[in-house]
Amino acid sequence: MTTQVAQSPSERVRQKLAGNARFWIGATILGVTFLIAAFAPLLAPYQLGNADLLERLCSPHAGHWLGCDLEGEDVLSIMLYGARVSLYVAFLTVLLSMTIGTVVGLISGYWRGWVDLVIMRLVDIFMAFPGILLALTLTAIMGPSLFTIIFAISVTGWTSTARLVRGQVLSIREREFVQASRALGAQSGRLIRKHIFPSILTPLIVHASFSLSSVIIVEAGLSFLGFGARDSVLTWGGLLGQASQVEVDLAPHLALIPGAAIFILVVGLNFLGDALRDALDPKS
Amino acid sequence: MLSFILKRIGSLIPVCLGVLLVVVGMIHFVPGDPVDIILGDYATLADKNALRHELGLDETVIKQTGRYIMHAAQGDLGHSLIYQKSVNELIMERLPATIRLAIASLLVALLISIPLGIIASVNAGTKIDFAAMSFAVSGVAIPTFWLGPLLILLFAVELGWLPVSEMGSWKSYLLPAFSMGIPLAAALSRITRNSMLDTLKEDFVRTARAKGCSESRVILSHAFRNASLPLVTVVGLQFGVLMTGAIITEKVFDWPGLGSLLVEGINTRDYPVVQGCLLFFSGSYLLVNLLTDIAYSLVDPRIRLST
Repeated sequence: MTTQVAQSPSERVRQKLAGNARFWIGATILGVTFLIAAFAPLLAPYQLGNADLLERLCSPHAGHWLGCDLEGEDVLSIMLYGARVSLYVAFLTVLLSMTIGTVVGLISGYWRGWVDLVIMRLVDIFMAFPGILLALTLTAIMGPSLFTIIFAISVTGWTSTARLVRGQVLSIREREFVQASRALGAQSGRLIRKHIFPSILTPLIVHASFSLSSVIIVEAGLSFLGFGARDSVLTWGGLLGQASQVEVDLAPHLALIPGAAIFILVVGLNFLGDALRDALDPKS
Repeated sequence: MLSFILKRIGSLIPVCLGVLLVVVGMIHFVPGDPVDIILGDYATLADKNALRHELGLDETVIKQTGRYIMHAAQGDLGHSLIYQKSVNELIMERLPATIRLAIASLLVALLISIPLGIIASVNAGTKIDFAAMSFAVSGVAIPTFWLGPLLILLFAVELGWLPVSEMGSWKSYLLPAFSMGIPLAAALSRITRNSMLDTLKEDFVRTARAKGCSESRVILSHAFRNASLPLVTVVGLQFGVLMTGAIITEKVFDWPGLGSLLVEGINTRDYPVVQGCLLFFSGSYLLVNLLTDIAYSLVDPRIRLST
């Protein structure tokens, strides 16, 4: 007689992730990017701020493996230090926009009625500005800085989280375990904290990985258009912004290298998101 | 049907009003005086006051907002500070280039995604499917500002087959259309594949096969026709992506469209142009979404009944 041992949900998720090639590819790409960012001072061949004007826009050669930028700075060093800023901007923006979106979505879905109506119209208004339109205008009006970029993308990026959370809350608040807790006298704050919020964590984690990739693309897009941060080390997008100021055949490495890094990181995050969605979805 | 359309239009009114308030409010509530930003630090107080008066910024916020909304409702988006033309005129001059580019990109996307999605679904689980879906996953992640220069370097600089930039003959459309169309094709091919996979399991497909229809007829006439419904919605929703994607593509290819006008407006602090472009982009996005909903409800009556 064989006995089947029931797996706990966390074991099942771990097993699904371990057998998913996309998870390992995504996790490796993100892990390597983190390591590069953490050890940038040790890995970078040059300290930033030591521009060599004679080497401006030079192509890759033995002295500068990835060439030089508009100021004569080593592109490899900028890429290594820039990984820190790019990841910092991406994670902080996602944290901020998802916090706003989660709070708004919880309020909207839990209290429903006119609160929900007003909030959802507000979401519709923000979503009526497609793509990077609003973030671009806000960044331009407020002036290009790291804070502005994080603020502008967060202010316009919370809506998708709010919609996702609201949808989840609307369904979870009707489930038996929430109703039972309410019948036992639990207050709204406790219901949200102890029952509803933990139940929406799974879709939020998946959403976070996709949000990270879209924030990285938006930040790079803003920088490419010339509205990137000017008060910090160049981000990968900032290097692309330099590329847009010169003829593409004059310094192709300025567009190709940071573009390739952004592409690889975004593919990795999308793989990670796909794998997490498959593993965390109880139906799959 | 009429009540559905009216209800849908009714729900757009508060959104349109909100969009107008955001567009006007951004100038007032975001830190920084637009007059200082336009004229710089060295302008005299008299010049600043004159410009403030010209822009109507010396009036109360409520009065300014009300006036802008009244004018915008009548289709008047104001006067450019730089071009000495009305914003409407400027938008109409630049719009055809953006629309032509958006249509060309959509064509590229559909021509790639439909065959790819169908082939992947028919060969689901095989290496062909894996290759097609690998394209879909990586294609979505390709930023236009990277793909554009890559295409220029390969087809214009190295091979010399196509012009580098600027609008001209049909050849000049190819590179920008492909750089905007490929990421879109990646997203659409995934949707086509999934929709086809669902449809291929339907009874009517089995019936068509049982009746002796050829496989190509079953796939194209029976399955794809039904599977194309989700594509209608997604293509409609992607219109906004195409319009704003144009902002970056137009910058890469020096394309004289609406996206370039918006960026020029921002760079020269021409706020009436910026406000006009924002309103036009979001207005056309809302309109296309409305038309998509109506088109979809015509095809699938369940949409009408559920609202």
